[in-house]
Amino acid sequence: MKQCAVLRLCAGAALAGLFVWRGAAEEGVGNGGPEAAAAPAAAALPAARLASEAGVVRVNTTVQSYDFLRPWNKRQPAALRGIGAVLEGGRVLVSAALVANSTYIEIEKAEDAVKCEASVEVADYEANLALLRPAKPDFLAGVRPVRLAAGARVGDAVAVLQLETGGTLAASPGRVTSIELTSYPAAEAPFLTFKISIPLQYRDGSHSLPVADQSGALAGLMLRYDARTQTMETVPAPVIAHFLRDAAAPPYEGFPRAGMRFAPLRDPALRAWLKAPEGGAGIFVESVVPGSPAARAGVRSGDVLLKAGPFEIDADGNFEHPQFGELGSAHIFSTEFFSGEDVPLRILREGRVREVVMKAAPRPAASFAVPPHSLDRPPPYLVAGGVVFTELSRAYLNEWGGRWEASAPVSLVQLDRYQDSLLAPGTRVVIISQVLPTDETIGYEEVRHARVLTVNGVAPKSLREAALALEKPQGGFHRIEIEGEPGLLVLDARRLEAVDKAVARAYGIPSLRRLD
Amino acid sequence: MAQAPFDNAKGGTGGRLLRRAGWAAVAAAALMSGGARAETAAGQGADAPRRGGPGVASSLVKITTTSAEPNYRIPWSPGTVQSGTGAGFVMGERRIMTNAHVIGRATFIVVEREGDPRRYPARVVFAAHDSDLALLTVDDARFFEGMPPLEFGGVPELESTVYAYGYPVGGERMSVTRGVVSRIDFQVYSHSGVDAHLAVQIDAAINPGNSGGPVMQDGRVVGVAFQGYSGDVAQNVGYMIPTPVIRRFLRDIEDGSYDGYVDLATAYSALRNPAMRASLGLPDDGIGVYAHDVLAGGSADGRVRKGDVILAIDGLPVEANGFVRLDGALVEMAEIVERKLKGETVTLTLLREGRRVETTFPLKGIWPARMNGNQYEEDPPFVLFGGLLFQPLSRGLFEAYDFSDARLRYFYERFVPDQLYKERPEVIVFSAVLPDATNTYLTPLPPAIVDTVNGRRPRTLEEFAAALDEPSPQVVITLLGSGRPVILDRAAVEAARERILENYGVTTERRIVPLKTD
Repeated sequence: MKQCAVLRLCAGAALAGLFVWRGAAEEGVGNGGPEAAAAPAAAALPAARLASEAGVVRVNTTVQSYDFLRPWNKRQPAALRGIGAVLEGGRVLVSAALVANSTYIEIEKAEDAVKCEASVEVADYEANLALLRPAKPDFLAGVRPVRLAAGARVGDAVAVLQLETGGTLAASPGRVTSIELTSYPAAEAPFLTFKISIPLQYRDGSHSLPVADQSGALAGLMLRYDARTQTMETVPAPVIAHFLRDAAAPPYEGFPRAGMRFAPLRDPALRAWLKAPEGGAGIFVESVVPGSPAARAGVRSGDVLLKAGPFEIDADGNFEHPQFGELGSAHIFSTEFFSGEDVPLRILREGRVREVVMKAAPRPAASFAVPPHSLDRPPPYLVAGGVVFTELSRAYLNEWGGRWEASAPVSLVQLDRYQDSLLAPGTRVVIISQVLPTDETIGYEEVRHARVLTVNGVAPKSLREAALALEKPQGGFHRIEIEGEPGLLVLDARRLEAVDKAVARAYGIPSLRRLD
Repeated sequence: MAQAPFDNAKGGTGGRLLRRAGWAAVAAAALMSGGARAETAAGQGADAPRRGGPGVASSLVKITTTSAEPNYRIPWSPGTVQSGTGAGFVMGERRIMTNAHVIGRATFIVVEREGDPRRYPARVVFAAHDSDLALLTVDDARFFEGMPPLEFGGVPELESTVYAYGYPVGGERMSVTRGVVSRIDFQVYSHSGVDAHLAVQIDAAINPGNSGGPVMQDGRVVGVAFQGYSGDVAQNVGYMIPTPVIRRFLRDIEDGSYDGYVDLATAYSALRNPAMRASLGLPDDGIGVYAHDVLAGGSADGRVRKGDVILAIDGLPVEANGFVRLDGALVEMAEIVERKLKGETVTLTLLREGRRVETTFPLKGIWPARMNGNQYEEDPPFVLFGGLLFQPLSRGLFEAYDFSDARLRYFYERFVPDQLYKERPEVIVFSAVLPDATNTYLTPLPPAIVDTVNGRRPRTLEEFAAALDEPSPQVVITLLGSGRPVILDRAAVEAARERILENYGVTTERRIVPLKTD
């Protein structure tokens, strides 16, 4: 219970102590001499011990993402730092953003700056959570694990934990201002968040920051921080608990998704037309993703969802959560249930109430026709005769920057945006990202970001199918039909191998293909 | 890749070219900025005519236009009144030639001439918004006294010197600018924003107020100054409309009406690749372009097929880059079609599945491409129903709302290339709500595209309005890509009607402009 006692004071008295220690450390570094350096190391010890007793460690990662326009290429590596929370069993919980596309991960103890390489046990990019395991099983033996908070209430005092360069723990006090759903960076549906009002200094290692409640338990991990409004959004304890329970029973399944889009049902004219009862119950199902759990349960566009699990849904799509009050119904589907569980739904169709059962299931990024993220997944590609084939993904569109929806080619944007109605489940969009100039590709140099319609007469539903079609030239030629100019690319099949060798040499391409 | 004519229909090409508004209408603003650095020689009228040719000053006309710029967000409003100045010149039969953008949407036009303090009201006889040319006349015969008509010349040679006359940045006295012909090429005419024709680039500064003025060489008009470059990319670059475009305009109006440009409506691309040529059975003779798309309803529909190779046009061999040799010069194949009038025929020699095929067919325009162009002839069409505003998709609408919605962007940019006009000749956009107690729950829905009305799919705004008028207690409007229909109770719409019109100052509830598909 010592841990709790210390952290309970974080927001008040203990904070003053921390500032004292930090001051001493900075002074020592400033002097720089050998004698001066010896003193702060000793002086900082109590605070470092505090960090280990608070169950936090530093996590350093090197990440390297792929260049989706030149898919054989990796970008310049970047170093990230963050703070992880030590859990039972010697594992460390961090934001998944800290380890996405990582090439090297290490855990560093605040106490003595001893490092140990670590690997990702489970990462869920939608929920932005990852579990790390140090290479040495007993590396964290001396660190007291944190306890997960049961929840939080609006108005609760919390503390965000950061580590100073010297390993000193800094706790900044804040307050929970609201509990609601918010969009997570890599997720297609919203998740629960605790919003915290907190003035936070920028410190080295801001990619993953634990938030402790007044009892010293882990209330959440930082999701994002807006320095202008001094507001932090967190991945809250209930989402972490869901993640940990799922991770405890491998294989990790992930947060389920229903596959419904809703529209408010306040409009009396629409309610009357749907024969929905007067008053505020039920949300309008605007669309249902084909093949999704909701679709398999028989829910259709135009239905009214009245109840999901034990929760009545109101006309704005909210329900009364016993602990957090009014929340959006997406929370029920993602966090109140686990993949594989049955979710009873009550729907209204043509004035009649029906009960259906939905089998909760996740929607992994790789199952999308245009994957919403490709973290840790190198882009597939194929170079044939200087023509670079790949598959359309959100990561590819993100190469146009933050405003990709307005600046990327509109034909590709709409395939991403409306993929559920435009593309069959289980298919991918094969595109030519560019044509590397060679003597065989004269006249094709300007082909870019073009959707491939057919390869030797076959409409490919994946890059692998395109690769297979390229093994069957027609009359000595490969004929590739594309959307837009010039409509058709023809390659001499006999020359392909020689050209590819020359292309690989000239453009430094280590391998001419990477198929899923 | 050869440029397919209708590919100019794509959205954001107008970035660098001076937009229409940056020309005549914003002349006053340009007075303070762009005009000062230009190499204009204002006030040297006495010396200039000798170089450009005698008598230009006495044929030059200063045109002041008052126009009303519609606001697509309040389409019932008559628009903002503004004025601008441009130039023109007398060309016989009491006619003044100028740019269409000088007189676009004009409500009142006055003309002045050198050495005469009077202002004469003028009126438009013909306006060609696709080639930015117009003819005016003045009913007061005194205006033309002592104004010798100017004669037209040919296309000036590269590196030759020309003289541009006009009233840049709105000055009272004529100005003359000297420049060298630096390029002769196809250019997008920014007045319509979608039409590309031959244009001559000169290194003289063409500024607002030069518009419509004659560009002279050896005493003849070799062009009409019409647009320049804005921004920092290029300076001292001006463009003029050359005489082939002017002569085509004059030929088109001979029958008393302007019919506009025609197009092959076929997207073709260069055939430079040896493997591609070999697979199509073509010899290595550098002849032929690949037809990769034929627009439904266009001139070549049913005549040219996707996959054909175009070998010759009107007997002239088409080179692999899409150029033909015409009067000794290489010009884009489109230039052959450009010079023809509506209904005139073209003959293509095609290679289809290894066989030579010859086809002759009459030419017409591409009406769907007008959606992506600026509109001058009609005020914005719309229908207001129950406080909900419905407008056909157009360049004016798209720019007024600056839509970022991916579906609207797709329909706007891919309307012609993906032939979306086949199913929806007019894309009806639910663009806005004028909030009222009867429609308050519908305010989050726009912008969206109307799919059906009471179960039927309207192809035009006219059909949409007719469907709304059919007596039914309820109107059910579905929106593309959304399962959430708009349900309107006719009695409630009727009860709110006068209130909404009065509250929002709406003078008229609908303006239906029948869609022209010829």
